[in-house]
Amino acid sequence: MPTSTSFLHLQFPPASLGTSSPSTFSVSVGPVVLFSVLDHYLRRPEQQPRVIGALLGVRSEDGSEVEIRNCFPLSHSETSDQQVVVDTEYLNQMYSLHQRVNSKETIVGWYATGTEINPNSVWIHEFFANETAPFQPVHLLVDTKLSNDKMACRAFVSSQVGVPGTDHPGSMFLQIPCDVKYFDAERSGLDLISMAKDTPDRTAGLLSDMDSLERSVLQVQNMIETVSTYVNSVLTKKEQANSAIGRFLMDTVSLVPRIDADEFEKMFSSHLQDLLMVVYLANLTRTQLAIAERLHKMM
Amino acid sequence: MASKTNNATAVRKEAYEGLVNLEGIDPGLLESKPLHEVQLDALVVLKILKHCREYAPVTATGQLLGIDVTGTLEVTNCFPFTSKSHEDEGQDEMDGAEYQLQMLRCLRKLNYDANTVGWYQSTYLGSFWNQSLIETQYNYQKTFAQSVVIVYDPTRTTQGNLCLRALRLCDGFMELYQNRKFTMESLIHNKLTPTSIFQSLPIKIRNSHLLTALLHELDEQISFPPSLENSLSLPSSTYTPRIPTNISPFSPNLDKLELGLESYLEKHLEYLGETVEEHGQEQWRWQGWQRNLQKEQQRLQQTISKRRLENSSRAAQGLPPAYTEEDLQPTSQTLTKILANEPSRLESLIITNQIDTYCKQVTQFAGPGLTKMFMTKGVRVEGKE
Repeated sequence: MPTSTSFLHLQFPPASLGTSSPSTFSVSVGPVVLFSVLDHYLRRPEQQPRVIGALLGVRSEDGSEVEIRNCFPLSHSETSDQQVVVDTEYLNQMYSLHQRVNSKETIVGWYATGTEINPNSVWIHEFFANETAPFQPVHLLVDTKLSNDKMACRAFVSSQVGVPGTDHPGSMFLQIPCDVKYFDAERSGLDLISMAKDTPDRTAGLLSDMDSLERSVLQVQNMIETVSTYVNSVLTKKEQANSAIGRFLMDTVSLVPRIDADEFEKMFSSHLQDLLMVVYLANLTRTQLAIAERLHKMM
Repeated sequence: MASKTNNATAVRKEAYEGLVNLEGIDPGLLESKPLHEVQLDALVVLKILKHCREYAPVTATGQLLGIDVTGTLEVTNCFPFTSKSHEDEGQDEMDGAEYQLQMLRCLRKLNYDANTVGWYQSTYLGSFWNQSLIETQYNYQKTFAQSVVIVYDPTRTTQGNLCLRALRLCDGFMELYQNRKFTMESLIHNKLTPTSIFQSLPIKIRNSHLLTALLHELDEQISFPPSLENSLSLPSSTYTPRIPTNISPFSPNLDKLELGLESYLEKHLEYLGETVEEHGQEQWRWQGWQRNLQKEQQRLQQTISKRRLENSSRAAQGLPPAYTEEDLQPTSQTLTKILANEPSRLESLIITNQIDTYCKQVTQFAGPGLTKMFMTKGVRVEGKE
């Protein structure tokens, strides 16, 4: 039992009013949301320190999981004396426009850029609580200042705490788990997009299928290289063996299917023939078209 | 759909012209030069991917926003079009235009580029060549000269390599399309061949500095799970029980090494077969017309030569010719009617392009496919030793 009095125990806020509070509450974010937030931040008016916007997404049935799939920017103005003006008309208009494209996505919270939650955030959060009622709004904070050399994105829900001396209950923001979630096609896209991150001009062209395969193969080769260096250094006793890694390696090696050599040869040649045949047909068709085009030109 | 976009683009242009203020900008940058490249913001790519994934297998379309700077079309934002419902089509048409207008106004308010530079469409296995694509792109290019269509293929992208195309109609084709006259003669006159209808532009993807930082961060997060120390430094409310997830880093993208993709080829062959058949039918129709034409011409030629013969025999007898010069002209009403009824060659142009696309995709697929097969063989032999 800690003797220190600085502990403050906070309950997770109930996911929705009336239901019992679930023990966990988590958020997943689509990459498109983060990209939009950054884009919005880049387009902010010069004097404005931070931008906010609404998050769209879906909730699981019990409200314990929120999937943030989309977002849209909002215009707002903040002054130092705790005055926040959010363009509600804009919010409603944009929301109805988004609803027409994808009616499943509803407002689940709001995002802001910056490193900290300030008193104004409390007001904005309360405003969004009205929009998301009966559920709790989620607050996504994207650190665009890169403090600690990290672009952290954190998600929060708020919990009410009593503040001595006032009638108005205070709010306490609780950080909740938040991870980035993407789909197959998005990964292919991100793969290409992230290729640009290592080039000085931050651009990347599209790759042909062959080139992208080459890239993958080279990367896998590098991985194998790393593993075999490690294994060798363990064998020569340069490094201490790690049984967990050994087990993983064992599992991986045992995944290689055993196929009878003749069987494999048969499969291989039949596949090869199929593929070559298809290529031949495709090329034949193309040649035909090319001839037709030449004739066309000569006319 | 085509008329819908036409209406919409007209409405948008009005709204747009009233709003732009071009004072104080270097005139060199404002000059529109022929496009040679399309530069997509990473955000646009992801938005297209998301929209098309949600709408699959129905084709999804949307609008591209951006600006063209000295021959490079910079696409900085996009938004999806509303899906067309079949029930209230008439009503939907108006709403669609209104929706786009509102969206543009909203985006403009927050400093987003609200300049239409084209549209995007998803496709299945590259089967995007059809009249409606051309019609829509024609309307776009007529209203906004520097616009492109981005065609995104989700089926190929799930195999590991992002597949986007940027296409534009050629000027020659634009002219021809305006008159809707696709006869053999007009095609030859304009030097149009199936491959020269469309111009395909190279695509580049560009990231902002902040995005580059984010990508590094994401890559790190996935490749190296947070250390214990790191996890403990976070508030306890962020604790999640470690559930193994199937999230893998962006690269190496192991989808590319997938071997069993016969169904992809099969589908391709099936589609290719269908399209070739269509092409054959189109060809056959045209040949039928050609035969008719020739027959008519021959018949006419015969009558004329007969008349000439008669004329000359009458001249020999000293009589005035029975037929005037006019009667000897190789024209007739039937002939002009046949000539006017030449089947449009547009469909055949489109089909030819479609076949070409399929064939290219098959060959593009086969190269890596063969490589992967031999790789498997190589891995196997080593395993045996």
